[in-house]
Amino acid sequence: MSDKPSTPSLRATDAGGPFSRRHFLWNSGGGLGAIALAWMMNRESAMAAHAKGFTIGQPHFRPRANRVVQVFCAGGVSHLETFDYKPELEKMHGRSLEGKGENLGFFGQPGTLMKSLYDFKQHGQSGLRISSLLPHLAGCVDDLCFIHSMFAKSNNHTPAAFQMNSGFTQNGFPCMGAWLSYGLGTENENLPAFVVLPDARGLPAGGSINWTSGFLPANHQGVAFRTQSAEPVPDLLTPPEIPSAMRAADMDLLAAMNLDFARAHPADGAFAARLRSYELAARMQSSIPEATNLSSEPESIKQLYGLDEPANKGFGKNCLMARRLLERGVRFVQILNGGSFGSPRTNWDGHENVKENHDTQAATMDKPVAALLQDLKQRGMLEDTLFIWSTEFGRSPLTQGVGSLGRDHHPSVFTCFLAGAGVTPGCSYGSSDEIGYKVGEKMVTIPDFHATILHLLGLDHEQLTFYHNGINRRLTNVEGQVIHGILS
Amino acid sequence: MSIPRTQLLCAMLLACQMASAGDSSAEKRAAADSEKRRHWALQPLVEANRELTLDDFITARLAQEGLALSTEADRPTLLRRLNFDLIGLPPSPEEIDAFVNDTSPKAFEMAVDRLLASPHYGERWGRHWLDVVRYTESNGFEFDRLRPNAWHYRDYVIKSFNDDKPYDRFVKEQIAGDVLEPVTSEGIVAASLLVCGPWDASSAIQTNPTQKLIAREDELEDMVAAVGQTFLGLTVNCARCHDHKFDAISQMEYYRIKSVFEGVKHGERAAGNIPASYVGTRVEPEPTRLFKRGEVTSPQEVVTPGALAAVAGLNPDFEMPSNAPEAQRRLKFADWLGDPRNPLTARVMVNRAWQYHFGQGLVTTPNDLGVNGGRPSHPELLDWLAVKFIQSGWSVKALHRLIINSATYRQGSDGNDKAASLDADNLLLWRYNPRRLEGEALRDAMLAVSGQLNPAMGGPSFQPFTITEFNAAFYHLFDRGGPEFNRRTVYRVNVNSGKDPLLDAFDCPDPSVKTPRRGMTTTPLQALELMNNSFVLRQARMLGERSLVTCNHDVSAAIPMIYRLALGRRPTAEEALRAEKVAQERGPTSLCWALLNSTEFVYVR
Repeated sequence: MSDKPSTPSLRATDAGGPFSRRHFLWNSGGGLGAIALAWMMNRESAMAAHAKGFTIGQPHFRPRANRVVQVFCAGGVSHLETFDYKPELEKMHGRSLEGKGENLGFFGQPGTLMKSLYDFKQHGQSGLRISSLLPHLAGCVDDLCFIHSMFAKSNNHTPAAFQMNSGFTQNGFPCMGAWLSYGLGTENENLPAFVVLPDARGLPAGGSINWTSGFLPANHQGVAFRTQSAEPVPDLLTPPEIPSAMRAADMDLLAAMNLDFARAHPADGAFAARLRSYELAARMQSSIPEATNLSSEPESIKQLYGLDEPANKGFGKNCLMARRLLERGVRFVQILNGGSFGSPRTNWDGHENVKENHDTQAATMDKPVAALLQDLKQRGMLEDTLFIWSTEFGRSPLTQGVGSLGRDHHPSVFTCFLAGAGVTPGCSYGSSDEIGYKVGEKMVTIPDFHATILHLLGLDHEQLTFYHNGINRRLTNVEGQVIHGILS
Repeated sequence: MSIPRTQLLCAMLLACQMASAGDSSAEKRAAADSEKRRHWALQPLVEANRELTLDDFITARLAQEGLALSTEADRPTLLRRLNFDLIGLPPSPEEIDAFVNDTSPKAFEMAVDRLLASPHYGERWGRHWLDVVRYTESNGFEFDRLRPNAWHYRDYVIKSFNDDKPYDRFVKEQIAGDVLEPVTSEGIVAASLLVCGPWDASSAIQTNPTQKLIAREDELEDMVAAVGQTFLGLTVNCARCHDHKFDAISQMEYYRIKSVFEGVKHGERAAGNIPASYVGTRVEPEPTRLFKRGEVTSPQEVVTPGALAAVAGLNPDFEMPSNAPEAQRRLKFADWLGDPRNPLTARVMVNRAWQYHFGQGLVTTPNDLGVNGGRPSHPELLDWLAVKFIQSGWSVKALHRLIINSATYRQGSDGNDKAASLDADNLLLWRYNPRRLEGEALRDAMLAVSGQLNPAMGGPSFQPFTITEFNAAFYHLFDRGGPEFNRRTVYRVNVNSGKDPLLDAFDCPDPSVKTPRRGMTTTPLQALELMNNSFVLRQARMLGERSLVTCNHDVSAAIPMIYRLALGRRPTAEEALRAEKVAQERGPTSLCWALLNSTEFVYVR
């Protein structure tokens, strides 16, 4: 199950399987659609052959999850202020740190140990602790599975974010969503397989680099929705100056031309695939606006996500949109919380004052994420949807400079959580040391994290490969072990 | 540990010295290594019978399967193919007429010569090269800042192709042009290759020494990877942490090659009479040490600059100390690469040319001729081409002529059930592969047929976006007509995070990825771009207007012209009727829009 150099796949298409059960619709209907359909049905086998190698389309074993939603909190969320309770750190507050080796901060101004700025209480049946920063997530604790022993390679935002998203700290490697699109294809061809919902406050640094398909074919690239726009995808809609009747007639003309050409050259499946790509495009023109239009959602749901509150409006909208996209069969939805770096801060990068920063950021994140979890659960979707909450690294138990209230980047231990399909609910895995500085027990590297996610989707991370410049590339490079301890 | 500096220094010996395991393990490694060294691509070039032609190799192989070449494509099809292949632009109706009516037996060869002499040739083939060397005009990573002076290298590449610069010279300049005597601006710019990829600028403000070192080692790995894959077709970079899993490249050799580039850093500086260009800066580095498992925290013995022992017949040892001047190291490496006895340099380049001419190479993995790459479909032909290439004085244009002036190139692209059942991927070349236009060719072709193409060459790239800075650079795209923006796509700023949705949908690669072969997908997002992108709509309108004006607003007369401009042929009677009805009822733009969207426009056969 890999793309081998000896079997080059030229002119392949994104069209996955047979399309006999689908309706064939041009904008205008008419007789041509039926003719084209009948003709294309005959080309079905040729099309399938062309699709080979560009989308594998089948899991390796029975999956627990069929789709994924990943919340990514940009900037580095402090594990000490959120999910990782460290009573020892409280006792050592104000002391300097000794005997822990090299300081891993980005700015190299280690101050003194600083206790958590929030109270930790036990919640739910599981009794797991969450800080007072996140009261809504605290209410979901029995569904969550925390990994307290995450380890990232870089102390620098973008390489670390690249690693969380693509497994590598460098530019140009395919993101997890691209890998899943490649490995599993799509459940709904009328929507992209991999959708990214950027924060309303702006794109992350590096923009589209963060959802690249790298060396995988471009059809696996993340499609970033402009969630504040009436046209969520660039060039989705027929420009207003073109009357719809005219466009419909033009589409018929084009279909006739392309059908003539494909019939004249029947050996080439790619020509039939082009016809079909216009059919899918026409359907996307209605399916994307339908999926992103929240007006049909009941008020109670909108309130659940906080759409009536200024702080939650932007991100809450994206969380609700994510649910609608997942419902409609999008394979991988990534929701970004936090915009670019810089001052004033629009993400979790609390160098100056963690409390001030995290108060502001959590106010946008806590309620909508809890709402999404709850909403997926009440619809039964959490049973086959994997929920990921992640950030690129944690924050240091030390202040950034003596007397500061800020914390520097901290890759050597941090917390993420999973929930939903195949994951043990109300669970805590691994630990940091007594002050949250290094991994205590059961280190989970990013490749381990990715291997586990792929495993839940029925994919063996060592078998999901794509040949590129000499290497059968994997999301997990040459590492990664499935964390069996968190699987239900 | 001291390193024996002899010509026979090899990975096997080093492996034995370093191995802590017993003899049997060392023997096993030695056996595996000698197996790796027997790999076909590392062997000297074998000169086949001089009397043979290119077609002899192809037809002989086809005959083994009971197959033959397809009949020659018709002339309009052939010229359209040739035009896109060599200059990336469609032929004009007049050029097609002239070619169709040219009864000279040399008509085809003359068309080839004419196109190879066109300055647009360098723009087309230069773009291929820029894919391979991961040319970008922004840093990538977090800040993704613009490199406003990187374009000198793009112009150098285009000019080199147009001038038919001997390829061995082209190779050497890109490794050490800044120190090759006599030093020229052009030479300095050439060496931009080493740094024209992405760079994590934030590592400069990083204070953690380990993390800083890792970022620097990543930079050097990118350079070694670019050089190894581009010129040698070997993934030398895979030996950073351990001996290469598949190929005869030891970890020690990775560090020897790394030491060649150890003095090269990212950045801008003056290049002769050019005040600032992104050509990289130079330092005299500390001696290079091998890092155990690639970990910067485990430095081992000092290594000296050198090359690969597995390339037979050449001295891999540069016989210079570990503190040799960095310029000397690169000069020596450039000589090693450009030596006619290095069989990889020529094999890799002729294979690339073959790929761009036919859609796939004789080896289908052009950046990896190693053990894990593909096997050549026609090994004797590959060597025959490589030998001819060197004998021609490394002339890339002579190589094009050799390939194009063949029956194999001129054959038609129609299907053949029998052949397809035996060789579905057409590795044996029983027909010409129909190919979708690349994003750049598609955009350029639209500008050409609408009459809007501004052919101005070179200079600063056009920027169809505004930039805002919030710690990082953000690119806000806009679409505007006018000469400034109607230049060929190779002159569009190639920034990492400011990709154009039209180009992006048509598989234009991520600029930071070394892309020896483009993806060729067919997707609904492509359809949406061609349907609704304002650039496409504008060119459709311009094509209609241009044709109407030329035909004195006689719609019936304009229709053949529109077809000829867009598709290089006249409409059939049935097509003309249908088109006229459309143009009369809804205007010529509707017809032009459909033609620019059509498979026939988007594909070359």
